[in-house]
Amino acid sequence: MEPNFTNELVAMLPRLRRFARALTRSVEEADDLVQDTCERALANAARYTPGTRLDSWLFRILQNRWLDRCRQSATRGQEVPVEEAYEVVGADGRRDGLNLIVMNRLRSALDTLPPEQRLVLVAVCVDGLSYKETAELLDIPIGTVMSRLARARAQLHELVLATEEDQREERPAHVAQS
Amino acid sequence: MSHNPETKPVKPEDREPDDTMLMAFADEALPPETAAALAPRIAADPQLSTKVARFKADRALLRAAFDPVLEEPVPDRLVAAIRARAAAEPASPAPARRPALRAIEGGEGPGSAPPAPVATTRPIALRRRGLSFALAASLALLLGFTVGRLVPSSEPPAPTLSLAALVESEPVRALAEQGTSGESVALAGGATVLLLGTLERGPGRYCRELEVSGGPQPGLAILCRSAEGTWPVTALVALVPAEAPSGFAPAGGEIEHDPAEALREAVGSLRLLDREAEAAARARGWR
Repeated sequence: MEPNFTNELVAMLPRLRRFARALTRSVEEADDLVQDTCERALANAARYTPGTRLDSWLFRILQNRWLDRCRQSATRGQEVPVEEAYEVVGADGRRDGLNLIVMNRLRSALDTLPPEQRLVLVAVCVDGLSYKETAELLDIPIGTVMSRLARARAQLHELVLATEEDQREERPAHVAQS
Repeated sequence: MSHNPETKPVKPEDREPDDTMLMAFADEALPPETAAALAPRIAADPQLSTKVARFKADRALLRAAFDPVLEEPVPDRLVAAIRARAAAEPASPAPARRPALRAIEGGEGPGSAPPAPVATTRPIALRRRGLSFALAASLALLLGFTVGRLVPSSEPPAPTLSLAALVESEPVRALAEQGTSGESVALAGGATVLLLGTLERGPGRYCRELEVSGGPQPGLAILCRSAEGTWPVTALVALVPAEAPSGFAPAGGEIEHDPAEALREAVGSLRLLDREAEAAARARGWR
């Protein structure tokens, strides 16, 4: 294998890991997916067109591998404690007392999304791809990207943000909730 | 919306913006002229600005949640597995794009070039500025709308929960209802709640901004008065404890926003009242 290709692959690992982390439920599962993706890429390196974007090519492999896994495992894996699943240290390295609660909610919310919606959400909101880049990555129309993304975020709002919001309007908030 | 054939064709920015459009606005994915036309409408409409704030918040939250992965060292065994696999694969028949690099395996020998970072064409992955601030805003928004459910009496008080319980207590409610900005109330447990100011969310819709200090968990909160006269917590942010004085500001210090401002942005468009306006609104019974 060309060392050049391998080095470029290794240089992409942080981004692949971030993407995989947002798709899966644990660090192990994410790294396993990344390794799987890289092995696939190495085995099929001949199909990669030099000069095109390696990141797009790798992300396409990764999302296909992940969708395959989703189909295979209709059974849910064991739950991983959130402290193990995600880094709960703030961006500046300090532990933030809030993160854990919100991360827990965020993770459960992500787990409830249909895979296609989760992919779009992660591509745009985690990896920062544009709507157009996401459409190309997933080979779907840009309108579909936007509708899936809006649905995914509506679900996030509902599960992470605002389930009580309407009721709060009708009920005094200081009354203890059971 | 009636369809009048004599009117000009409806431009996208003249339509009532739907959620997808607000999302695209929040994601800065609209054409500049559409976004510019939409901006004042959103700013003027608390409902629209709340939606946009939410789209920004959930994106910021996701970034904040997963961007730290980029900073983690890649596990050696992952790299080793990939290199072992690469060594086992026959050389690709595809032509080499450029001379092979050997920086990683060969160490930093003279003349060795660093591995090519392919991802650098996308600066967004490296743009970490404002991340912590964004997280603060997201948290404020997230917690603001879930506080009611986050206060089960049986659970041990996590920092935020205790903070939420604190600002929903009766003395704080009384402070919000009757207090003048600058007044404070001392609570059991050593916490002090200071009334920072009064904010107007819209006609007859008032909010109070509070600072909690001295207790186990310092923080900021915005309580907005309901029609029934209660003061539910609308947004809440816990501040990093004293040993980390720079709080949510990243090390670079480029952020002009402070957590208080982040909190206000999370609630939507708010106007800060001066003392006279505050006194007048209170005298009217916040109506």
